[in-house]
Amino acid sequence: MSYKFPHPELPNPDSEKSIFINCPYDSEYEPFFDAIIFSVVASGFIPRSAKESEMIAVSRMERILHALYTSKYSIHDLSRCRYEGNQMLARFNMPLELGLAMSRRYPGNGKILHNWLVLVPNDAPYGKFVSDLSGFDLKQYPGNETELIRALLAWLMVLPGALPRICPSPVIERFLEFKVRKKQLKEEWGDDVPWKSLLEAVKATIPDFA
Amino acid sequence: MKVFLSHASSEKKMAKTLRRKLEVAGHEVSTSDSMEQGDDITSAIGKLIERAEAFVIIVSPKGLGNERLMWEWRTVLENSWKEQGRPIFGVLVGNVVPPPFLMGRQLVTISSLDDIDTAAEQLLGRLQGNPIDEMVVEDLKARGREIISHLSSEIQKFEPSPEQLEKQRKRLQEKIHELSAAPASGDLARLNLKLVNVIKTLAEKGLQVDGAIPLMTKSLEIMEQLQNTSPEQRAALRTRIAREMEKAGDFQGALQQACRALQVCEEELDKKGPADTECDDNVPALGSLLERIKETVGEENVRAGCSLVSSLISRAANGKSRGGQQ
Repeated sequence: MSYKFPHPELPNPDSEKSIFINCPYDSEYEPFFDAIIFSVVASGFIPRSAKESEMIAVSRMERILHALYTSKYSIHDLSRCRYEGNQMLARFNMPLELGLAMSRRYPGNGKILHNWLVLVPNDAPYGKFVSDLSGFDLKQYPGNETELIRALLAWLMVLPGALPRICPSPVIERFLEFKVRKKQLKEEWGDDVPWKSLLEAVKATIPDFA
Repeated sequence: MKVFLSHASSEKKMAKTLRRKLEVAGHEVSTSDSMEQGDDITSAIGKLIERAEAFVIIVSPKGLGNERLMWEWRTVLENSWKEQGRPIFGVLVGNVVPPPFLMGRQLVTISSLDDIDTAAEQLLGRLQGNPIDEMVVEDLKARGREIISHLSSEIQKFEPSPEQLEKQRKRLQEKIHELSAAPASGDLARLNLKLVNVIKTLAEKGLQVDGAIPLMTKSLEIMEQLQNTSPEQRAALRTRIAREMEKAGDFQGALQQACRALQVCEEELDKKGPADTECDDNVPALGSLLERIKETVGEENVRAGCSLVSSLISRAANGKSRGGQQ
């Protein structure tokens, strides 16, 4: 099987402005997922994920690789890498995708192609359990959306190409408005709101620059 | 004033001169060089930033992209947000483009170490506080509009083409066909709903394909059989089905589904109480649906549903206000 990169059938927006999102997609995590994509768009960047191409007949792994490899940045939330269910297994998707991002960072020619933010909740010693990442900043957040938005904006605002002069208060205020719009979208589409509709809803609610 | 001065190691000499001048003027200046040997670097710099009352950031072409420096900037930014009124000043070396968080702030530009006296004087003046230049604000707005407009056009690239949708429709149909031979599973219910969204998107493009309602109904049946979703989630799906039936002109079907969804919401309200049900969004949506179809199906048929909507909304509101008073 051959793999073309970037995949010709998949969306290919500006990679310099693209941020791959690696996080759980379940209903429990949904408020944080919303906070991440809202902060990314409110800072002038494009959130990317395998969800962007769910309506395209390409395998999931190829869609993940395409979205990640055409993104200059990525955000990884490891907060759900803890045991779950009767079998007491952790989810491996998030660390796997962080590993893929890391391979993108060090392509071997001395240039850094990719940069990331790793999010962890501040109630567990993640540094100890991902000791390979020592030296990298693991951003702790206390498990609420407002603090997550603050942490994300601080990371996003120093990246080249971010919208100038963004501060958290208006973004947090507008985020509540976005959540109302998201509910309306879910009434129409269920849990799989099309990526374009979702991003358009975010864009329509972020603070105005006119 | 306690000032934290951020700089790249390549600008050490410049930072040292600037620091001396600020200190002569009576300011207490710290930099990442102020640490003692053996300090945990990150936490030591974090503490220096935390106790600073103002921040001066030297930005040079060599420093851009430096990750340690970017971490310092982020920490400065977060601290300035925590406690309003702690200003950030930028010193730009050469014709470097300031990072976005510095745009619109008080900036001093210097081309070489020879300019450091002038820069220090300007900086000292600004530490007393000067109003922001309105021209700069206008420039920033223009830049913001440009970025947003680029964002809008990039978002359009996520729109799948009709050919891609049609290909995915066939692929999902095949998968569903394969799974249908086995006992009902959560995967089958999920795939059905994915196919529904593909069909809906095709319909938005004017390419009408039937089958959305039976697929949703099938998913609902599976969910009820497996009991792997909450009653509220199933009521939400029933609400979607009712809306699709309404769109397709099957108002009797829509009424039936809406009333069943309302019953589920009522049962959950009885069992769990208003604070714990997730039916809050469903009930008003079902109310609007009943309002829309009442003339077509006859008001008499809808009345029971409508009164249930009012009762559920007021029960939920009363329950929540009582909860709030406790």
